[in-house]
Amino acid sequence: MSTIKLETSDGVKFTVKTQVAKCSGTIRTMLEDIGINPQDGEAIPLSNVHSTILQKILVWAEHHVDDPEPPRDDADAAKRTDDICSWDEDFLKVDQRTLFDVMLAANYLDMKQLIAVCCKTVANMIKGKTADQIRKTFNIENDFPPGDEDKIRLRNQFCEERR
Amino acid sequence: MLKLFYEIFIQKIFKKTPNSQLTELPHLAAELWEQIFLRVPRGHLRKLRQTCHYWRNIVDGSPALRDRLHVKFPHYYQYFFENYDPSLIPPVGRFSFESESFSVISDVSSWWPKVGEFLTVLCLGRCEFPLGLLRHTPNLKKLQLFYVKLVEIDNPDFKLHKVEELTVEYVDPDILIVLGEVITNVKSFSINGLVMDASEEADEERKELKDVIELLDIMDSKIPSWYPELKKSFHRLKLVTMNPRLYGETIFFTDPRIVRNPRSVPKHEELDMIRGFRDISEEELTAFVLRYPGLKKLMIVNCEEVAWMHFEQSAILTVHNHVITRNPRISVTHDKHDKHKTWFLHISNVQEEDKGRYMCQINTVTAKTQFGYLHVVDAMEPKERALANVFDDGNCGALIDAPDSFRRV
Repeated sequence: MSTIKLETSDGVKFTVKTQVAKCSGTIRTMLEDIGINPQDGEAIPLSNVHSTILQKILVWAEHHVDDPEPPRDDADAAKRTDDICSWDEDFLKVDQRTLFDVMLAANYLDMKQLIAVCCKTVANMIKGKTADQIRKTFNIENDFPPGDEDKIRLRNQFCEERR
Repeated sequence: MLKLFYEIFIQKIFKKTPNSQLTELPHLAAELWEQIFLRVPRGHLRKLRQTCHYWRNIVDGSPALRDRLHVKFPHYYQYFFENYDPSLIPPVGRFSFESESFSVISDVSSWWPKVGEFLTVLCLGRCEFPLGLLRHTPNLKKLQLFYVKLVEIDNPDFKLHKVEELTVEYVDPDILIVLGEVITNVKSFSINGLVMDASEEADEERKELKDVIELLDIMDSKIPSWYPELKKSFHRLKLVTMNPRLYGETIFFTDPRIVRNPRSVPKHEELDMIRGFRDISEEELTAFVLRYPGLKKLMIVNCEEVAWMHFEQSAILTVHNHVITRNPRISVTHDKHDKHKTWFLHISNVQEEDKGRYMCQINTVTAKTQFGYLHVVDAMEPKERALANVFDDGNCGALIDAPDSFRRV
């Protein structure tokens, strides 16, 4: 089983099965298209990913390495948020900071399935909340001038979201 | 370098006081938030817009999210429509206005361009408006007009390249010619009525059928005089609807979106069904159609018409002298001068799959049918063909001619 080395932003080197590393579109492209040869023993630098996050991501990739390719552009599947498998659900039971870091790293590494499952998790955190509750959840500052919300409510009187 | 940045970033984050959790969360790129928002169930967009400026800009900047928002003027807001203030609403993908009584939209240039820019779906009803209105909707994919009168239609100097779906009801054919010049890439096109008929009865009918009739082939015997002109304008025109009446007319429904309750019934990808009764009611039809959410084609044929069907495949092959099936090897002929009024079904280049029971039917109130069985003995003889006939004077008598390759059963 061939392996490659990955080096994170904080200088930690990981030795990873090539197959697992290829869950990342970015690494796959590096290996297949650009022709980086992992046998050289040289580590691929992942300058945007911290070792704690990469470790987590590798656990995910190891678990999902044999997953079949997801169907492309399945609009309905993309919109569902209740189809997170229980393993992923447990995996993403982390503090928000880690969740966001994982999502950012997954984005950098181009791991569509992981991004999707993270997005679903965050979407579930938004679901059913009022604007105020959303702000509290993500600790977002209300940067609208006072009274603006009322104006918005007025604005929306003819505007409805299609179901 | 990047590593350094990252460390500085981390340090910065940890230096912040624990109260200010906001900055503790890494900044997600707008595209990631968009991905998240798209997965938030419908009904949340307003709240997302109300959260903060950053989120509002993400929603407003995303065509996919904008497309979920619909501005729908209540029909009694005609005054409001004309004196509309676009700062009152977020950018939306869909816009509809249906006036209660026929109204004239004259000058909306103060606000329309700001709204039109984002629209992908526009629906206008019972009003008169200048064609120039559409100049400001370059991203429109779907246009629906009913009881609409267009003015200032001479020499339009713009095109709507993105419009794929055009639905018109009860409009003047002249409008269609103009729209044909402006709309260049229409993929589906439906007309549910040709006459500007504002009578109550017609309106009732429109309401009843709006959900059902989508596209309807023009039968060549009923092509209106303006059709060739229209076809010139819409060079990709394939489907046109005409005359929504169900009584004694031949119509085809070719759209599956007749669904009202899609999950409660088994899916029929494509079901062809023939009905021969002159007085089929709308209720009857609606009830039928609702049972088949996957329905792509439903035919209701005139009583006198002779149809050929493949029984096992329950596929309609021909009706009158029209070939319905997409199988190019099927054709039908009929000699008007033949005193037996014989209808011939021809299958060229016969293949194994063609075997089975063929039914010929005359759609009188009690349908008259006749069966013939086609055995494919040697599919290597492509020149052979099956011949069969039936008499459309009510005396059903079919015989299947059996050349070498076929055997009658």
